[in-house]
Amino acid sequence: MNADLRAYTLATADLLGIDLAADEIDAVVGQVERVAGLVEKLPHLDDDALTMAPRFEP
Amino acid sequence: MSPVSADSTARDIAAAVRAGDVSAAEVIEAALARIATAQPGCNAFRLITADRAREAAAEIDARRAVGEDVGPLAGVPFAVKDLFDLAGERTAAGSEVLLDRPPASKDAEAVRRLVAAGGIPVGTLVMDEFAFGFTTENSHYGPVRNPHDLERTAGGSSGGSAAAVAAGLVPIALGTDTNGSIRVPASLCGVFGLKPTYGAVSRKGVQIFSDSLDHVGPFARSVADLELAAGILVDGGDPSPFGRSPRIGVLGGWFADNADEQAVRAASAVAEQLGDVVSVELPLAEAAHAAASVITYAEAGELHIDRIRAERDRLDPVVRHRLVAGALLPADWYVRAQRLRAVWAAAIREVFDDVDLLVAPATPFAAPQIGTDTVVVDGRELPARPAVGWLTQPLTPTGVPVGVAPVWESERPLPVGVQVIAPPHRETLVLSALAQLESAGVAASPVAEEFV
Repeated sequence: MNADLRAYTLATADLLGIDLAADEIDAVVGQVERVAGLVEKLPHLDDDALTMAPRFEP
Repeated sequence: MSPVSADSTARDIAAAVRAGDVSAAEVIEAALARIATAQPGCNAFRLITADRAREAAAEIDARRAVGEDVGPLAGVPFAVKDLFDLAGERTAAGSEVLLDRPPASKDAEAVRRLVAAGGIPVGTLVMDEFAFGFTTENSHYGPVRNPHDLERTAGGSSGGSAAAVAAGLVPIALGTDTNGSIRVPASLCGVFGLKPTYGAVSRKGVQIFSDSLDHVGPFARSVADLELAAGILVDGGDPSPFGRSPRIGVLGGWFADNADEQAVRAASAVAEQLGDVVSVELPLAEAAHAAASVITYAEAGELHIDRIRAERDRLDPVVRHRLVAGALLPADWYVRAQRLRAVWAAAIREVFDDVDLLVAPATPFAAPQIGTDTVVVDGRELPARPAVGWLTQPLTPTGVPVGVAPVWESERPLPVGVQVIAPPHRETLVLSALAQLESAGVAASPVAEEFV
């Protein structure tokens, strides 16, 4: 389990007032790790793309 | 075909009621009886609104008796995913905590339209809690069971909607689709489904899951019924037909690499039936799948942050862990996902300069057993619950309309659905293609044998 993500998860949950029970910390960190793995699949877009605002309409 | 049997279509029922061949009351009593019989095995319904249904049927019969036009859905029973408001009822969205809210003061807009057309809501349907899942293994209300094999999942999160239609309990049901929650259960339960263009169907009175991805759409066992419902629900749209023999792009890469042989064969059969076939590779598909997931986590976590602070012990633990993680994600990740989404949506629009429709399997495999953790595809072990949505998720962020055609093989007991994908606001092209597939026998949605 990624120690940095674990520390991030605990600190951010505390900051946001989300009380994590001891027996659910691993599961929540696991979910954050899963999303982190997905973010790694997002390519770094070039400068033109980076100027594009999110679009919600097709 | 009797207008009160499990395999009656909405069009059959409405025609019979309008002609006075059967009363709406008879139709509703037959539907309520089927639901009561099926519920212990299938578990599609969270709430059955029998009193309201009987009152509505009596009203339609009274109006018809004095010569009023009772609408294109006259007397047609329908049911809705348990996140559409029904006036006077509590909308649970698959949870217990939302039952603390007061009953809805009015019907959701999509429900209102179906009712105005003569349709009669008979209940709300079991779903994943807050729509956060693909298998409707709901810890509060129990799993929805696939009518074609009760040991298997109906898919999700609109699992109750697809199951109710597949079991012949209602001819039309409503669901929502954020990452595939119409398309996945349609595929696994063998029914037709439509995810219209983003924003084309009102979400007023619908419990939100992921605001920038949620779509409302119908399920049906016949394309004519799907078209009937879409005509009532969908705003706008370009009705012009294909201008030439359509070019069909079969999505490869991510969509083929993560599908088993049955799913790949189904997509090929659909494409070959529809027109001239070309292969299309979209290199950003895997990234789009990732982006859709990240956006969903973040938006759902933000939406429910007060509940995950205050209601820890009343949420499904798995859903709670996902929501907490979503609430904690750095803004940087969400923004990166939305940027990818913009580039991906532009890429999809560009593809439609060269093809009229895109085709891909809706799920990587047919319905797995309830409780299954992994499924082997092409020698690779995939996590069953997330993987069942891998082929629908990349398409949602683009907002394009997608229909699902259920494709069966004679030697296999369960179908796999195929996505038929059109440019924005071209629902008519999707429906036209689905009708062609149904007419040719490539796609079909029979009532599950156990429920006939």
